[in-house]
Amino acid sequence: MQSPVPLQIPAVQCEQVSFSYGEIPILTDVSFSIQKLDAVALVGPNGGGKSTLLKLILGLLTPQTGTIKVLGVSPQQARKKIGYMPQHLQYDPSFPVSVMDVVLMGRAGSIGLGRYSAEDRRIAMQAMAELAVDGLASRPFNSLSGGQRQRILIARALACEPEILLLDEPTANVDPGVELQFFEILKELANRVTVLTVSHDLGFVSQMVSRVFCVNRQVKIHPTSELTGEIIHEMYGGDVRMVRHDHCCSEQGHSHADIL
Amino acid sequence: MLTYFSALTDPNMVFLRYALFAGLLAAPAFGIIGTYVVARRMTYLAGAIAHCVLGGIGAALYCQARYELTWLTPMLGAIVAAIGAALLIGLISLRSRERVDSVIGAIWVLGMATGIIFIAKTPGYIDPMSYLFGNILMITGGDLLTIAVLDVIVIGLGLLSYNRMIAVCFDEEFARLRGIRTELYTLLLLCLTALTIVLMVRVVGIVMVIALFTLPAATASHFSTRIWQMMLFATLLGMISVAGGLSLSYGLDLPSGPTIVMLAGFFYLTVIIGKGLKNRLR
Repeated sequence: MQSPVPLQIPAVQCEQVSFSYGEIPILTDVSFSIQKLDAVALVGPNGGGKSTLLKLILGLLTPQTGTIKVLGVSPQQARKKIGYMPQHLQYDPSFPVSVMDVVLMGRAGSIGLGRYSAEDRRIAMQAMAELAVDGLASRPFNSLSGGQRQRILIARALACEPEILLLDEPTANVDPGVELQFFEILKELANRVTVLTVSHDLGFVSQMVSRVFCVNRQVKIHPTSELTGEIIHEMYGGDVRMVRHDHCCSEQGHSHADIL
Repeated sequence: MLTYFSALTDPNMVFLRYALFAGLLAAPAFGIIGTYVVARRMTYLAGAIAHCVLGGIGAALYCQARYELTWLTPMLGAIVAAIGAALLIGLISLRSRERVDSVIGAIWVLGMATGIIFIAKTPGYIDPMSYLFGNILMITGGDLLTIAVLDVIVIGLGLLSYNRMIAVCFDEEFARLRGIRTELYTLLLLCLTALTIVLMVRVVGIVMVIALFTLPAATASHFSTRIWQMMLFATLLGMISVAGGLSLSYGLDLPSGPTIVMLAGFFYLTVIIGKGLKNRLR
């Protein structure tokens, strides 16, 4: 679709970004860079700024200071190359749409006032097939379970043919059995798109990502290469304690061996 | 019933035919735009626009009588006021930091008050009741033509923007991220709402016009799994309400606007109560 961006241009680059809602600082002096095809998980306590960080990358919010570049350009310019799955769909359960209608919304930016083309439908079907929900295409969206809906929303994000995928709590409504299957799918996706996922469950995400960003006003970066999910889980018990520990680290991240 | 059909062809009862034409012409616009309004939960905004129409009608009547501006018909005043109110309400709900519902409520009342004052100050006697609650005796052949033209505009734009409008109504933030100018679509929807309101002001009046927006669409939503089905069913329900309501009002000598609205309300209540009973019996 688009000409490939050279690898040296980072997928996302934040430089000294600060953001506050009125008087309340949400993010202070955040700097990091995410390379193309990197897979990153954002963890941290509620209100720590994870969703805000995603919205800054999407250009829905503008930082008070600092700059954010997505694929080398401003977030607004890069928007069409980002697929986004929101945590909460401000969703009206009586809204009569089919699953296909919802996934096709990922193509809505390219149709003008017209109709969806056969190509749009093919891309939407393919996105659903990747998440193993293509059998649901003609079902009413409001008849689905929470986990199915979540997958449809990821399929919708994929239908945008994104270079970067932003997933806000993709496992929020998913039961544990399905969750495993879920991350298998995400792992597959991470082979061809840059994935940023917000998650509560570090044990799971650490199997698919290469770095973990702890977001709590600041962003601390942990590579997961030397660690299995089990060890991290043992070490921190949960993500809240994970961000409480004291350390300083470079933008490249640090090894947990340093602090033990 | 037979007398109703013979009345429809009676050359002395041309108003009845006009009212039926007006209602049947307007039903698709109400079905399509009403579905968007109900799905987007904008009924309150539509109510405010409808009441502002009285301001435009009043101002037009006043200018016509006072300054002999014969071209300034109440219909034209209604269109201008409706579009003006739609843009104002749209911009306020998109931009304002005030409590949006308070501002909308203020516009609602001020638009109506303006109209009443103008009508009171217009030389000669004008019955505001016929604008508030509709009066099919007032429909002229020229009105029918205006209704037909507006109808084509509303239905055309409503259907052309179908896919994008659904995307905006379903998840505005996501639509914006796809590069859709969602604020523009919100304003477009409000303007189409305004024009649709004008279509039926003559028949059911500004107070009850909102019923034709919400009741058929809300009734239809119980049978629909897709937006286009909801539009289709809402259109059919609208046509049945208008045709049935006019026939009942003629047969029972009742005011036509309220009878049409009562019929639409009857369908709605029947469906909800029926559905409730069905769920309880299960």
